[in-house]
Amino acid sequence: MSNATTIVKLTAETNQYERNIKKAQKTFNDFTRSMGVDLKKLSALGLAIGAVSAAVKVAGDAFKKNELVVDEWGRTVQSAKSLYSGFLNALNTGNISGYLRNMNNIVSAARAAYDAMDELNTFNAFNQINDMKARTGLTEAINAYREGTGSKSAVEDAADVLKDNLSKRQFYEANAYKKEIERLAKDRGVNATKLMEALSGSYGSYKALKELPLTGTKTVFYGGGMFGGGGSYQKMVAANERESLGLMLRQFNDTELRDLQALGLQAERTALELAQVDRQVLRATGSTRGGGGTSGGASSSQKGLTPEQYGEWFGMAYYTALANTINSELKDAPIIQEPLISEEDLKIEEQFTNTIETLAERTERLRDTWDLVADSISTVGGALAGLEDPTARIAGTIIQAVATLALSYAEAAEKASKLGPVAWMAFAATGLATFIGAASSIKSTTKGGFAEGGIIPGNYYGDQLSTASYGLSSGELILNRAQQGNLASQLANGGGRMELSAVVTGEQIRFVLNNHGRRTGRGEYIQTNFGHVS
Amino acid sequence: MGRLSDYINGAGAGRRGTATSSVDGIKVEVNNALIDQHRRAMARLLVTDPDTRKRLKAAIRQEIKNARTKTMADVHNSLDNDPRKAYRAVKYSVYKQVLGGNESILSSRKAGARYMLIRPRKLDENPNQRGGNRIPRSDRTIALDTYFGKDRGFVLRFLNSGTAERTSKYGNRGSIKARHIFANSAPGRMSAAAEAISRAFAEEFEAAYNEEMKQ
Repeated sequence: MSNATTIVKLTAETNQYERNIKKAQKTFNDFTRSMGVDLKKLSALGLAIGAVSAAVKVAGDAFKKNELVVDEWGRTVQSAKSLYSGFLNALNTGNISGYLRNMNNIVSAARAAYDAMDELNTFNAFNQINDMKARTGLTEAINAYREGTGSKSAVEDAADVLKDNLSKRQFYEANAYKKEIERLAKDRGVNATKLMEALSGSYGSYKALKELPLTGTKTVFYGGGMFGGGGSYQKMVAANERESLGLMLRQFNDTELRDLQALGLQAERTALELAQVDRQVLRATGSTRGGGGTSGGASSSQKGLTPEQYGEWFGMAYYTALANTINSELKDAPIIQEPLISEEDLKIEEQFTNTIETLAERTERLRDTWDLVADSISTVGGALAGLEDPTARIAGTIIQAVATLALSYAEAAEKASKLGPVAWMAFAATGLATFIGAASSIKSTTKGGFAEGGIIPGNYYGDQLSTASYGLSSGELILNRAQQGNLASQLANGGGRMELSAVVTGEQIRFVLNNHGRRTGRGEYIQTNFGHVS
Repeated sequence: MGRLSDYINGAGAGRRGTATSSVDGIKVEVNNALIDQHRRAMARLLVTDPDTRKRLKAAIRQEIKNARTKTMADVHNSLDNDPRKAYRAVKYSVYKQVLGGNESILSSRKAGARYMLIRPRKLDENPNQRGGNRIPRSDRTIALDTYFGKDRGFVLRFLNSGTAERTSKYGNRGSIKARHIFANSAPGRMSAAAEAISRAFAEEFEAAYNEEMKQ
């Protein structure tokens, strides 16, 4: 009897499906803890959600009364802002699973950045009078010394007081800059040190780095699975350090980078102010205390930065060199009995003064934009007054976002693609709706263009477009074209480039079909699309 | 699926218990029960869940049964003359331990199993009859009685697989050419069954999930 098929067996391989369900369960459980602000913690902020406006006002008053709660609220909003930025970046790169794993770090970095900025603002707020007094004191001491009624040591004491203030301010500014770098780096999932290097100027202008084309190539293979096929294509990659940094910088928009540099320039300006104090004393008395003095640097008794620290923290090679130059000039400056102000000195002083003024102007202009975003979110009192219960909206949205865990987004996806709750679970694992909800509310309170698809205004010199013009409401999200394409393809293909930790929609349950003759068998796999009902 | 009100100060808050916190006299109730409900519903999606497994096996049984029906029809249509209804030899089974099944034309693995086609002797049914059969036998009776195979599949397997040239002491007996009746039909039908099972699985998972959420 010849061999022929007499039995056909069909078995379902569900191991991969089971693993994915379990991954989704784990992600679902981890998600409630991943933000670091779970439901119970949010409830501890004392917010009344969905209440009438009177109850909302009570919540606002409670915030205003309790400084600690205001800070916690600020940290929460900063965390939500950072998470939203990171979410948009994950949409662009397709690395959703990496973003989900990194959410704890994003929140921690955001909170640290908020604290650092808060410290700086607090210091500036309370130090203004002291700063003014110190400057006035130094001027008076110099005048007294010139008139012969004061002593050189009094001038030097007054200079020390001013430099102490400036050093402290510089420390807070540098710390805020550093924390902001770390926060942005965590948002985008890049290395903070490399980001600092890229912005340092060591590799040239960051704009030029961003526009640097990739020259390296890499062969990427794709397989055809059980049924063969597949192929390869050439992918452009970074060939050297400059291109690698440029590739990283492309994840940031120009506004973010300008604001970041503006923040760094604050500390730079303070460093130059410190140097100017020493030159002022040198010009007035012919010497400085300790002979060398410091530029942007710190003596052992001061809380400032040495040029080496400057170079390490800011990596701005030019300013490091400048600081070293100033240091060496002061160190080698001869001790003279009468102050000599040469033409050259005047020119240098004028150059420094102009530089400081230019930097100050640029810093203020660029900081306006940052303040526009920050104020609209962080200031609880300002948010309550005038706008339509934004505190309740923002707070409610954040709590809703944590509480609903992508449910509203899944409903929209369910209607759009006609997939059932099983498919919804895949989206629940990503927590997309959480951030869409938080993002739309935060966006609705910000002004600016939406070209970047984020909350950072894109054009602050031109038209200021408010959401009222577009009639946006809670639950809506602004995405730019590239992000829309990414999200749409992920929805349509049930997977695509999205690297989910658990994929149910589009996951194939494999059926093994074996044909057996009396003595020989020929097995084949049948892969069916699970969840797609045509 | 769920709205804010379901989680906070909403439906179900009283049924399942809530977490309450207050700061400075402002209270908010948070309902974690709905999230737990989703977790339980996700557990129902696992194949190892007994109830879900039972539903899936029922779906497999239904689809393989449909495949068997179609295969039988294909076999029946491909046989011109089939007095003993050999096409009914196509059988199906659903596995107990794994999710799957098969259809085949193999005989039972149990030795000595008897089938309807094994006709008992006439005298066994009529012990009081004496003498020969005076009742004329119908064509059908003759056709059935002249075949002593254990099951219908015995014939079908020969027709399906064919035989080699055979020679007996009486001479050359020739061979039966293989028609591959089962092979031409069954794999295709089972492939279609796999697609149908996949759709049925999706529906069953959805039903299990919704069932849990309704509780």
